[in-house]
Amino acid sequence: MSQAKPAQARPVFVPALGWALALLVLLQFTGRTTWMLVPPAVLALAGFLPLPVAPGFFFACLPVCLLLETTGVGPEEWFDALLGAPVRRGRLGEASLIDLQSDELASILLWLAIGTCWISGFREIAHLAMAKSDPFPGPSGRTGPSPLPRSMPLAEGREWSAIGVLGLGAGILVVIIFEAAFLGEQAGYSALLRVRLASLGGGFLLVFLAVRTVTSYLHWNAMPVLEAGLVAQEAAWREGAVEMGAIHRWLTWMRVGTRRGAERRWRILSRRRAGA
Amino acid sequence: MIGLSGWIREILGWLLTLASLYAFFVALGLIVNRQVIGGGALGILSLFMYRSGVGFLKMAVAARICQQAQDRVYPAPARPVAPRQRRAGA
Repeated sequence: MSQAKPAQARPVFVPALGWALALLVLLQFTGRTTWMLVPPAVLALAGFLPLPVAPGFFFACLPVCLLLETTGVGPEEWFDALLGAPVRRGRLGEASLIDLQSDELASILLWLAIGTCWISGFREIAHLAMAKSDPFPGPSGRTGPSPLPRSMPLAEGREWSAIGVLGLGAGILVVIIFEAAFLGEQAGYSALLRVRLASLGGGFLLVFLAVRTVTSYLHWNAMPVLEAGLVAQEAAWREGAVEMGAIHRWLTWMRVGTRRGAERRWRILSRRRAGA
Repeated sequence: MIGLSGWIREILGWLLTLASLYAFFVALGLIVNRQVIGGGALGILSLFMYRSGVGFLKMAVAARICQQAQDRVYPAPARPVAPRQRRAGA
């Protein structure tokens, strides 16, 4: 088992990342454009892909984004220029999910990037804790220490499976952003409740399921052969249970019928012998 | 080599998963636009679709890993060299 593989890479990097993120969010609130959300987006990308040069990119784009921040032209204007004229925003009754303006889309993407980055930092800390701590400290209650490793095993290739947790943070961000995007000033309480519930449940599930699919696929690709065999057997049993049940019922019916026929013939022969 | 059935399962699994996510997106839009019953029904259906797609995907990956392990343990025998045909007069 390869333990502490991710733990050796960024133990000092994680708290520095957290402080840098907090600083960037504060800068974003004070700044005029959203350029300062780009460095967290880079780090969020590093949360998905094991890029060893991601911290370098982060520190490289930090001064660039500060410089772009001073120009006053944010990425929203770039989106507007790329996508053409901004789409007219409808009222609440006519709103649709693809009716977002380009600046709202940019905000969604960047806030999602921040959430992803925050949760991937949390994931790194959780991995560090798992690799270092013994979940069952103290001597064993039976006959001495166990020969098996008692810390949480980190299988090879499964370091990224914990990213599924980020659906939670992303879902919460979706709720906040959809509320701001779909509710106007004249929205009533029922509309507020409907949008809030829909975005809370649906947005969370949508993001969570999408992320969960990708991470589960990566997780399954790293499964050992024994587990793969068990999964295949279980799936084969599940798919063939009805047919096998039908075959077993037919075999039982055939055996019972054969036995009854034999008993009937035996009774007939017994009567003939008794009559003779 | 994974069989054709494995590839079909994997492609079908991805298609079902993506379709279910799109259906979920549409359901969310319906609910936001005051069509709660239709959106809810579509959401439940899309959850079933997602479950089926994920099951297909997992099964396909497990079958691929089992097949790779079997190919490592029992490699395919080398094809026998066909004997040269003798000439008719020889």
